[in-house]
Amino acid sequence: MACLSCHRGQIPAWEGTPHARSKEVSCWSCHGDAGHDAKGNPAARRGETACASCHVEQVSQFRRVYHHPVPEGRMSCASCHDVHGKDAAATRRVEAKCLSCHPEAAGPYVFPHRALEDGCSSCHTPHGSVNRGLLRTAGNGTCLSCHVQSNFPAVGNVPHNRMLQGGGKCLDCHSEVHGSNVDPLMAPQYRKR
Amino acid sequence: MKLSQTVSVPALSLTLAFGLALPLRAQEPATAVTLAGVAGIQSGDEGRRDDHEGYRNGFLAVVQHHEKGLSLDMKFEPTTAGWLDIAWRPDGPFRLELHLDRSRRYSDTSIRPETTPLGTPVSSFYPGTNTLAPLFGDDNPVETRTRLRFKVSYLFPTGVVDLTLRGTDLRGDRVPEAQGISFGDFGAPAFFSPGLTNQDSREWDASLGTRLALFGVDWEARAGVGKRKVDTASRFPVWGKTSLLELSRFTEGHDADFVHARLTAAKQYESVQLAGGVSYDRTKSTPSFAGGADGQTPRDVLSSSGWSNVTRKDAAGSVSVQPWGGLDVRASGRVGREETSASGRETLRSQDYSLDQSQDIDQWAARGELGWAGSGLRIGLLGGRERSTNDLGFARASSLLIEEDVRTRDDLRGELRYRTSGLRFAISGGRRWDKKRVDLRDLVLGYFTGNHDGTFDDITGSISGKLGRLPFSFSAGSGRGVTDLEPPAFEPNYDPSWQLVTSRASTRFESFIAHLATPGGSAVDAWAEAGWRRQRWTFDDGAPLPGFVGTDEEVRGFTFALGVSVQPAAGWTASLSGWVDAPSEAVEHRAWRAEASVERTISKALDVLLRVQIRRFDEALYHLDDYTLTAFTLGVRGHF
Repeated sequence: MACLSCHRGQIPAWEGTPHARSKEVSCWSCHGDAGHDAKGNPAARRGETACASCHVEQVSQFRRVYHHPVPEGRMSCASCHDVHGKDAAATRRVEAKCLSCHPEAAGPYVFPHRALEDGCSSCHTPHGSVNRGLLRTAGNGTCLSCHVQSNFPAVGNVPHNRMLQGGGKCLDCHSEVHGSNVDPLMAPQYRKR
Repeated sequence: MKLSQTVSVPALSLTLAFGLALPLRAQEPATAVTLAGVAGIQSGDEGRRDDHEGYRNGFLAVVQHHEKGLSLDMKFEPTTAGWLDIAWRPDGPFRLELHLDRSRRYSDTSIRPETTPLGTPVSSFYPGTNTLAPLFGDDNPVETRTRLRFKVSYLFPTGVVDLTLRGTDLRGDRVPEAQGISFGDFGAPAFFSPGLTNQDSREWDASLGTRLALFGVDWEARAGVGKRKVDTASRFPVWGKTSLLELSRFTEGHDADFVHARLTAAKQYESVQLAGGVSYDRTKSTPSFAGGADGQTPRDVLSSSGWSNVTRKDAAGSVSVQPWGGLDVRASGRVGREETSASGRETLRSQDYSLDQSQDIDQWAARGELGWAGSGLRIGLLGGRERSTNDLGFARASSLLIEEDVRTRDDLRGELRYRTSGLRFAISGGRRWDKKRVDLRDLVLGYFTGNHDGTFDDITGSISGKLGRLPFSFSAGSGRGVTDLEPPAFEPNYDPSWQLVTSRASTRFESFIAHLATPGGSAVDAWAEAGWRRQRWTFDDGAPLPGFVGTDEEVRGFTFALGVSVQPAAGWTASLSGWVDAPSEAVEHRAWRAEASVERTISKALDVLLRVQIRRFDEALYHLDDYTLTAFTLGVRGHF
């Protein structure tokens, strides 16, 4: 593309991105056709509107009650997504993007929740959710999908049935879900006993 | 860009009204200053969601200035949230960028049922409510997040070098529990109302980076140092029949210093692209904890402190080849190793214990992609494997865990796209396999999840084109995932004679979205969207989880959205947009938003604008958050 004859250094690995390989996205698809002069004045950016024209499912998710503030203009799609393929030789995990704005969950913790090894999206739906905290489920299903025991009303050796009767939530006690500096079970308020 | 243009694209048009009021006319100096008053009227229970905090009464200011080499965008809301973006590109070699934004929102995400899990009315306990107010005095905790990014660059003939400062600050209160009410305890009737955590977290990072062409290769390098400091102070109340039984307090935090370095290189040939990179990260942290209780039942105090070192090294590379006619092949790979060592002291019931941990994670990933495009058709096949081996051991007080687990994730996907006669068809789908194998070598007074195997399938199809002159799209997606677990390991056994059985966990989803719009560019722009989705999370085996309730979940419902923008006469612009989201079952939202705005251009230098927003939210299932907010924004915009 003509643009890359000058901008190759800024986006050296464009050809490897899903956008390029789709053969349906060009520079103008997102930056518009306003062009720019040779002295560096930027092309008009269509920004999120360009993304929305193809990614309709994600647009719909941003209309859910709990969502990252992209529609409000406080974030952009590029805040999290590598649209230019600058990370083609990506050595960092995706979570680094999340943690750059959420240092409170970055740790390192003495007892990290092992689910974090599978990424933030193990429990959260980043674009939008009907559940508070962008959680996948409203109840305990997210937790129990890894911590279930079906014929014994316990998790581990602690009877949980009484706690969960009537709709108690795992997070009521295991409140430090990302990690704890004192309790491997992430329930510091009970650890002291 | 007039407001009318912002509503031509669905979803993201809703609240950008004053933020995008000025076109980015690169060549023409233009300044716009918008001053507006915001007034919000609330009815209902004045719920704890962002809506109310976002529309506090006050003044809104937006300043936009664009000229050759300089752009400035600033927004300040009555809540003190807003942003400042400056990009300065003079004719010389220097470039400067500043991005500063601040968000402020309600942070109580707890649910407050009217009975305890055992069915006892909350009103029968002291103080008869599970709100925050009786103990903490404030029922609307707020947190603010401030982000800063400052970058100064120097351009030279073959590249650019920059100094970048980045910072994030998070402070305020939040409710740490999901529900904020729990079970009876202490052998006496009691309940737990929501706790409150004060957080004071910040992170900053300073890095030096360069991008340059050297020896025919495009190089990019960045190295920096940073600091992360996280402090939290939490309070958890326990209420009895007639008094506060206990107020548990603890503080927790870590003080981490980190360094990072990264180097990537890319080489382009006519039909071959090579890219590779290495990175190094090291974090030294001093975590700490101190807790206890005050109130009528003092408890032993627990404290811990120590240090940890985390070092991570990674390397990655990719090669893309277009050998002939429309065919493209790509292969990529990544290897990495993370080493953690930590040590500390823990004091519990006046006894000192040592705390030691080590963890080594080795990871590698390989991925291949094959595609062909021609005659309007695009076919792609991609797949890969990620594997990590985690060697973990920790010992603390009387607990011990030594294990090695291997996680493997494979995936295979296919996609097909076809364009013909103004129509575009696309279908893609794939399967992912997850596997974890645990080699548990020693476990004393601990808990550890067992092996698991999971598969996840999804397929998505879409068709888009034009109905007459009207652009439309329709997409449908479906997916299913199952996870089989082996029983967890824990010691000591509650009863060694009991054989634990686990349950298969399943997820399913289906969704449909249809979208129709006018062609745009005329006096009337309009779009509409309708969607339906269903998501289910179930535990498939019989008689699961005795005593547990609400483990299976389903959410389904419709969404609708529309936008209309009209320019009825010269100087007038009017728009109307809104959406409805109404999921049911596991949650029962009835949420809709509508926004109407009118702009009148009085002269070349002055616009008058009026915006009305109505937001209705009813969370019926939990009898919580039932309110209507109406916000008026009236202002003027001057052009200079």
